[in-house]
Amino acid sequence: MTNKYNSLLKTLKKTEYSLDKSIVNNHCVDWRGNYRGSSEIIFFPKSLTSIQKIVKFCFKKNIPIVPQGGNTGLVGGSVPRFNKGEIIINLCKLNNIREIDIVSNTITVESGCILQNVNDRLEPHNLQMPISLGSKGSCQIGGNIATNAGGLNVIKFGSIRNNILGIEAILPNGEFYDDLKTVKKNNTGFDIKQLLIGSEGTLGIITAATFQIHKKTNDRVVIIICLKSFNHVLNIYQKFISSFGEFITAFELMNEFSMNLAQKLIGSMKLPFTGNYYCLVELTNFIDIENFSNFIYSKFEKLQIDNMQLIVAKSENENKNFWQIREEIPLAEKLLENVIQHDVSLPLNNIENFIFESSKALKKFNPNISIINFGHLGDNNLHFNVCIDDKLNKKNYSNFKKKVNEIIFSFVNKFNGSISAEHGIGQLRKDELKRYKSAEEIKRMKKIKKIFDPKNIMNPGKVI
Amino acid sequence: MKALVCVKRVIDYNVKIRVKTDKSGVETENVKMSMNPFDEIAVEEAVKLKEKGVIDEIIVLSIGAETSQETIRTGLAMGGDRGVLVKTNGQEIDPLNVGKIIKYIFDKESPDMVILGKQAIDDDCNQTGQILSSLLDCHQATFASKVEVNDDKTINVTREVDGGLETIKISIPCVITTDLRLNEPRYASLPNIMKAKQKKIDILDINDLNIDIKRRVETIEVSEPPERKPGVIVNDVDSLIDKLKNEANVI
Repeated sequence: MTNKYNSLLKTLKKTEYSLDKSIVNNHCVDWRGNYRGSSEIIFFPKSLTSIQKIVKFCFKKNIPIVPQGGNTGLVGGSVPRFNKGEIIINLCKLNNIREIDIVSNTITVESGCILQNVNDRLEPHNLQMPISLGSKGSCQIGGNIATNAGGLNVIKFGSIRNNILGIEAILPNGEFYDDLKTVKKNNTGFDIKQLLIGSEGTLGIITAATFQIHKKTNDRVVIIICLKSFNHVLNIYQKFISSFGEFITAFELMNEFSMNLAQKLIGSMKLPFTGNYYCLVELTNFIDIENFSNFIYSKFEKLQIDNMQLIVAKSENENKNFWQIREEIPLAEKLLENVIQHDVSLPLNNIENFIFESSKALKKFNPNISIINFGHLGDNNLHFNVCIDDKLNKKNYSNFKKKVNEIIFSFVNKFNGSISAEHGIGQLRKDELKRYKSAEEIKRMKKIKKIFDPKNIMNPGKVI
Repeated sequence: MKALVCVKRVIDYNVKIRVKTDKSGVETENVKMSMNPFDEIAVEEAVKLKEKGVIDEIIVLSIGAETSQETIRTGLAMGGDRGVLVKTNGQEIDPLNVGKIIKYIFDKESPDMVILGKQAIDDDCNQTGQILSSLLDCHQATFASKVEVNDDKTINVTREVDGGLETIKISIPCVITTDLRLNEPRYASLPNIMKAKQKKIDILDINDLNIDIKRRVETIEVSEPPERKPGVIVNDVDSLIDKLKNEANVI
């Protein structure tokens, strides 16, 4: 069986591939364990030439390729499907930081670098990457780019798309695509790198990128606000945006159910209040204001929010405690059975009606449903997850899930939102993409795919 | 009763400390500062005693630059009644001199108890409370993990000592230094932050106190801990034993 690859393996280093079943299988399943596929071989190329050799070999023999980073995705985009003869190219060994330019604040990194490691290297320069994700300790830059990762700092820096100056990739036919520019302005026709960003590995393998990086400061203050209704949430959001503007580095929303879930996992935080919604706001002192908390306190005075249920962290320790609540929600959720996840985005003005109407429809469909609602409010991004206490057998569960998805996505559509805000499409939302994107858009996406990947060997069965 | 609580503005304990290039001290420019965590526990204890009706007034005292007002404000937001800042001009103040300054305020305000952290996390001296009680010639209870005020105004303090707990009884006026497990400081809530903004902070200049604050200790050098060498992964037990024997020379 391995003979198939022999001519290729001879040209690679022994550490650049593995046929060991347990190693291969580990990389065939996503971290949540929802997608389990199969593969005969996994490659860990250490150089561009090795990647080129592998891709050219596959192109010639029509072998489908699954590019893989830290495998922290949530939509099954980075694992092979079952018995489709797909091979995995994991980029973890292509992990050099090529250049840090502290004059123009850019960094050129290879795609296998782990986000946290890049930030650690930037720290002595008081600089940081423009993105911050819950999975920062294991996710890789290549995967971040391929999925146009969002995360916690989008409100301040924008998503990855807004922070990439140049990209280098190997295209499905093995050709080298070099657009590793480090300039901020570059109006020279079609911006092809933007197609690779968010392509989820379907147009090529990203090997390196140049990022715009930003000043890092440790001085931040985290606030938790407790509110009665979503209307109050929007009101305080507006007030904060107008008063604190550039200082806001996160504005997160949690509903009561998700707050309780997180507190169950980490133990009670003894918050001095309870309510239907909680907001976590992070304010960062980018301009070295001397008494930052006092500065914030005086702004509060002008906001006329005296009776607001709000607490302010007094120290970095409390900052971390507050963040922990928000960060534990996805982990707490993982411990529940039967959770159906949705990562949607909606215009802020429609969120309240969306939550109201879809919750009503869901409760009508099944009164035992609970809704875990949290997300990055500043980016109009809502994680709207549904869980059910009933013990459902596999068949019932799959029907239940289908119906829940239908209900939610029909309301997303009605309120002019997106069915995947930051998680991407992968295998999870492939069918829904067809339903909720116009036929015209799908047609054009397919045409673009064909130009890059005429043989359809690059991550087939994902996205489109 | 009246309580004087002392709070120190220090580099936040979650911040990675960087030593100045000339090794004269640590970098404090653009670094997050917070209240010394042990002092936060001291404030919380005073506020708790006030809620129990034992204490009527809490004065929050800090010694430091103008910016220490922020730290006092935090103490007021937790429930302190008014603040006093003894303003320095950036010079280091030895624990003995800190003790003398607190004594000056003590003589002015005549509180029944002084509550302060057992030590500050920046210089780790663990001296101020002890020196102060000696200057005041009053009872002291250090490393407090439980404070109970009796009806006759004596105070039972449980102290964390090696291998157990010791409960002692002291009378006022007294100095109590707080340990980590005494309580869990509350969060600063908006209504209390707003109230704190209205509370008064008296600012005294250290030069006006006529206290000799000459340093008796000179800092010669501050250096970072030596960098740890990265570990190695050995293939089997035999090579581990070999390395321990021949390279590390520990067996």
